[in-house]
Amino acid sequence: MALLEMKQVLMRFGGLVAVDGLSLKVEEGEIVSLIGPNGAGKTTVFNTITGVYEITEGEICFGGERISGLLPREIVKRGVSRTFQNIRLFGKLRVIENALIGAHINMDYSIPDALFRTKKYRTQELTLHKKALEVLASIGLGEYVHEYAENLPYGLQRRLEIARAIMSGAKILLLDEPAAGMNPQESEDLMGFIRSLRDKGYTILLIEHDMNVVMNVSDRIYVVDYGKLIAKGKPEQIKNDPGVIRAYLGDVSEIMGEGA
Amino acid sequence: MKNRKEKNRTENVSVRLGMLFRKKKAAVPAFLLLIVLLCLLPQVTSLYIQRNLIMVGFYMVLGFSLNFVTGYIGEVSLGHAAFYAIGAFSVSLLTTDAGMGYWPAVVLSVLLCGLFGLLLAFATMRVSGTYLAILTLAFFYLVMNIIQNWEGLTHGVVGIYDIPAANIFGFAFTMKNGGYYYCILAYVLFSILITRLLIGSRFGRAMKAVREDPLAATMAGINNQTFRVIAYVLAGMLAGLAGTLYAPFCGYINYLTFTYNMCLMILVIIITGGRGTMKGVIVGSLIIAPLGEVLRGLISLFDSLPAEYLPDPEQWRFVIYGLIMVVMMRLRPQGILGGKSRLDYRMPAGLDKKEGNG
Ligand SMILES: Nc1ncnc2c1ncn2[C@@H]1O[C@H](COP(=O)(O)OP(=O)(O)OP(=O)(O)O)[C@@H](O)[C@H]1O
Ligand SMILES: [Mg+2]
Repeated sequence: MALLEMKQVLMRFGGLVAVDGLSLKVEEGEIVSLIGPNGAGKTTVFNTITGVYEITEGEICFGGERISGLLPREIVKRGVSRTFQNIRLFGKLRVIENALIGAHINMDYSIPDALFRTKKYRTQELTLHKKALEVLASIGLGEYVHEYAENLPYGLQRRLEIARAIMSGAKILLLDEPAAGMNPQESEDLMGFIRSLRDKGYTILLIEHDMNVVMNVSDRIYVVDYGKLIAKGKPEQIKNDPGVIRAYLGDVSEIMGEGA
Repeated sequence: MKNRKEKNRTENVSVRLGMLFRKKKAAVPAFLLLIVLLCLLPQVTSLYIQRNLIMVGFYMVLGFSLNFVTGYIGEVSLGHAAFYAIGAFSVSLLTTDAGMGYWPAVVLSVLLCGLFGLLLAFATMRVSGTYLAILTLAFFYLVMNIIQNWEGLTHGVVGIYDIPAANIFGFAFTMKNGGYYYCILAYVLFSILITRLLIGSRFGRAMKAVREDPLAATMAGINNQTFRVIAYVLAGMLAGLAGTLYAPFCGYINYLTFTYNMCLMILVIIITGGRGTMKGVIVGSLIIAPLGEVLRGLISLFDSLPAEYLPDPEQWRFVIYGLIMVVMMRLRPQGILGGKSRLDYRMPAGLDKKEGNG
């Protein structure tokens, strides 16, 4: 059974069909990429999975249970967490606070617990502070824990987005263009980090424009254009798929033969 | 260049001061000393000064109350004096007409204010920005109109006379014995304490997350409405608590005791001091609350002039508030002490020091 499965999902905005009958499967422990030209509907796919939009048709399941129709916060609790393409950090809060807010669903002490600083409060806070410091250090934000999120350079803000998503304890992470705005060295590091996440047991669905990252890190790739699936398969297959090349480069028959 | 150095130096001083207060060894005695000094204050000041200090105290509690909604959730409320009024009227009616003891009446009144906080939170659930501000204003006028017109319950325009003094174990508060002063001082400390305890917890973090980015907060699994409701209820209860002391302090209240100007003043306090900070509320109320009296004092210097040339301090106060707001918005929108702290984040006790420094 797939960990995440989209079945014939259709997402309509008025006259525009942003996701058009898309089916997609992510197995546990996989790194799967979702690619496609600008405006293909990739981010919309993430928005449907995470419940930001209610899908028009189809069904989305996580761990065999239907999650389409649930509220976003219920979907996070099931174990699906994401980052945003257009960074959405809590800018006026500190790096560590951002990480801790990511772990919100892992704390359940009550107001009286907080007011009387009970054992439950202290253990939960301590555990999650430790975890936050650990996660931040592992993603290269160790020296910035006290910094305010909006003061971080762009590349580090992207990492903080990932750290916040990890803190939720989710099983699957949906990363929306995590390498955007990173220099080659940074995206190289990012790839290493994404692999290390998989080794730690996370499953990853990745949207990325940086083909170097996509081809190197993915187990499988889905390609969408105008909301429709146009190809799927292993990186080598996708690299040489004429349909994909056409979608990316237009109908240029000369380069079709040359591969990617 | 020199100026810059100067600024750096003062920053360093404030950072060092802040760090000093984080050291338990220094903070505890300093805090205790401050409390002792505050307790001694009414012994050495005139009743006039004490009265003003008490008013500062009331506004401080109101500031802490509004800070939950405007500072942490980030929603501007223009009707916050409504809770103050409900607390005051409720305690007055319970202690006069219903003949209840003071403290049971306080508890009931505070709970009632919490209920109204809940109502307001639900009424404003799907609105934001300007519409929300207007709804909170409508809430204020609604409450005041009910108070004015429901004669059978609130005595209508006549108001409530002879509100019994607040008391503890039969010991009645007066200005002379400092009862009101100590009580409001205790309420201020209480406000500081619960703000600190809650804001440092997951509740405060969630509120701030809702303020910073509601969608990102939802995606982190936060139920935004839950934390809005918590903030509104807390704010209602805290403002109500201030009201339950204000009524016996005045001895007489009517529907004109609580004005829109009061609502504005509470807002000006936290905007001037710095939304979403505790020191901002403290500094804001220290500056704004006595302003009316300072102005009165200034105008009385020109006593020799014929009365018709003298401005009415009550009216002019609000010209000054307006000016302060404009100047703050232009020069320092985050408030005098608002914005980012230069101190490190405070790690919870029990965390290895080295880890905390990352
Ligand atoms: N809330 C919305 N209402 C209307 N149209 C929308 C909405 N969200 C997305 N769209 C449209 O859906 C289409 C797909 O957008 P989407 O953001 O998913 O593309 P994308 O593949 O993520 O593109 P990019 O690579 O530029 O990030 C676009 O035409 C976009 O304008
Ligand atoms: Mg996108």
